[in-house]
Amino acid sequence: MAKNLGIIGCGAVTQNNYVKVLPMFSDIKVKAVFDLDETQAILVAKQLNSTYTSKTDLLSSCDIIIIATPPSTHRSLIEESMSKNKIIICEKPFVGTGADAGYLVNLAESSQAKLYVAHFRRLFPSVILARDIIRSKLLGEILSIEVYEGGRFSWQTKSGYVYKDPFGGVLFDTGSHTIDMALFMAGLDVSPLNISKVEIKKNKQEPSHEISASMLLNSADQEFDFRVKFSRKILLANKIRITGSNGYLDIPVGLANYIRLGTKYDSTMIYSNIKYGDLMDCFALQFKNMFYPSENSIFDAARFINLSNILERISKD
Amino acid sequence: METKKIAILGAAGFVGMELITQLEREPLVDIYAITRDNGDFLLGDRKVQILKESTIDKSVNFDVVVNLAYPTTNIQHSFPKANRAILATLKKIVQPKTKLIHISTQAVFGFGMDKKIELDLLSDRRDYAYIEAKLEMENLINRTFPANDIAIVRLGNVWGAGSGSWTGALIDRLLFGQVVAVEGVDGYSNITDVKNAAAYIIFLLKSAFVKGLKFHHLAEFSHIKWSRLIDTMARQLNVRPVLSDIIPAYPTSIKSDILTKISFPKVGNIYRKLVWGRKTGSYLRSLVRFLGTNKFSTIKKTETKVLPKTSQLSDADSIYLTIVSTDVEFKNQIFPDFVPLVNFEESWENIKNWMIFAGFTNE
Repeated sequence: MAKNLGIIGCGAVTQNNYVKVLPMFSDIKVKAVFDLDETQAILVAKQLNSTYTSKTDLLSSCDIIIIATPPSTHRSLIEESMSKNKIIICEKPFVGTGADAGYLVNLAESSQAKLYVAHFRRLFPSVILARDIIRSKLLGEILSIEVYEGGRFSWQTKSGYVYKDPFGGVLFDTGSHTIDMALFMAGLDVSPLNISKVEIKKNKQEPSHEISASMLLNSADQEFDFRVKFSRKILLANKIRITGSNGYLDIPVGLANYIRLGTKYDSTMIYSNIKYGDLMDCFALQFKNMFYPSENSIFDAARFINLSNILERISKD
Repeated sequence: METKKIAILGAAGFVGMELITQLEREPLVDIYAITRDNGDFLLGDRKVQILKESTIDKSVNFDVVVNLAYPTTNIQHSFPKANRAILATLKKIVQPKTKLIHISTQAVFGFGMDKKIELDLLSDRRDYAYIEAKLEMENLINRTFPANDIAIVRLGNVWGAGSGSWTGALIDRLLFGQVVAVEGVDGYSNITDVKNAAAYIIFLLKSAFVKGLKFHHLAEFSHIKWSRLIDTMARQLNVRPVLSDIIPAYPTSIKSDILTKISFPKVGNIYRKLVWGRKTGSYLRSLVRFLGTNKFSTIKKTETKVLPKTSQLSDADSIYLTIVSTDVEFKNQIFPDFVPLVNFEESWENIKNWMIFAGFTNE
């Protein structure tokens, strides 16, 4: 029997991504869509052969709720959506604070609902490859992680939240993706992390468009430097470097099936067998982990608490 | 002297941002930027007045209009529509006495530089979408503003700190093991530094040289070969360049274009497939023996060959390798009084510093 799905938020990410991938799932029926902007909602409803309804009707009639609104609305919308057996998928970035993230994870558990965060870059072949290499201890102990992503911003949002919303700056928008990739690859998304010795530079208060930060991260068994640099104005390296005691990995931040493995002597490219023809194939694949829930999904909201803490720490300064 | 009003279309692009940086240091200029939505925050902290296309005030008489805009859509068939949208905006801001500086590209002579290089108008022709669009825009501007003074500046490959196409993309190729050149082939780089490109535009708009219709070719470092740039960058990144042993097919006719895109069945391919069949193979082997095996020696020789070599390159790789393999130099043809802002050593030093800042390398 088909599951009913509802979308709250019909802006750019819904129109550019969800409209393309949801029809790939034959047993998922997009029953209802909702947006404060009626024009956008009607447009998306038409594209998905769905219905524009009130938020209340959507929440009561759908088994799966996708929340694709500006990030400052995520916490309250997730709270409203929460009920037994409901699957709630929150578009990234999750929420603005670690406390909110922890609260929502606990709420989902007590409500017997499933809560996921759509950080689809976790499925990039390069990311999975790097994660496997790090798990194998080939790199040795992790000593440092550097994260760079930047270029002239061209995403045309419908709501303009990226210029106005405190969670719309380059840190939460692009940076949440890249930091999450780094934490996931290094296996740092499960156990709690302590953050200390934080130094931050940004062009203005959030939403900022240029930001760099360094900090010390501690988990139960390791301690390492963590540095990030993001820009919406200047081209940056668009790579993540994870350095271990034996060598380093350079991982591109975009969709790729290759990484560079190096030591102080030399380096070489390593390729994954997985290859996607299109970014949307990868975007679609994440929902297999969410529409048909399994234990220990890599998109489980509990795996984004460390990310939320780091984003909060950098954004608050 | 009176203050000049200068409008820049496409001001939030790579060359546009550098142009504004240099213009901000100039006295007696009012800078107006005409941009899309993202221009507001890209240019928000600059000394420019931002105009939206929909709210352009026709009462402002611009002394100079610099057009840096070009179709950036990925949808190839929509290039003419995008060109006409740019032209419609230009019509709103170019008045009879306005001097127009239009920035074009060396690519109008073909990615492989296979057309005769001349300081003149070129006819529209069938080519890659990007080239057709650039050619069409030069001609549209000439036809639309016949009475205006126009300078058409064809830039070489624009590189410099932060350049996405000829600096960042090359570094990315080096960093992640993509092909950067063809083995044994070393083309002219035909590069211009973005700082010099912007400085030349300012040189033109300050001078009285923009009269009638004139063409300018700017590639002050054109003589430098790609191998020098690639080796220098590779050393900085501590990686080894990956060279292609495949010479990219550069189609020059409809027939060659089709042949590079479509693999037609050939007798050899059919033979190689059928000879492994249970029945077909048996009959075919008998036929070969009957006709004489020496007649089929070519087919046998090619049996272990991989796919036709050009099929191993993506379209993007083919175009990239075509450009870096050209043995034609796009020589500087500009006003001789112009002194470039940076020489090659300074240009490289800027790029090196940016590579460290941007996280490509640590030293």
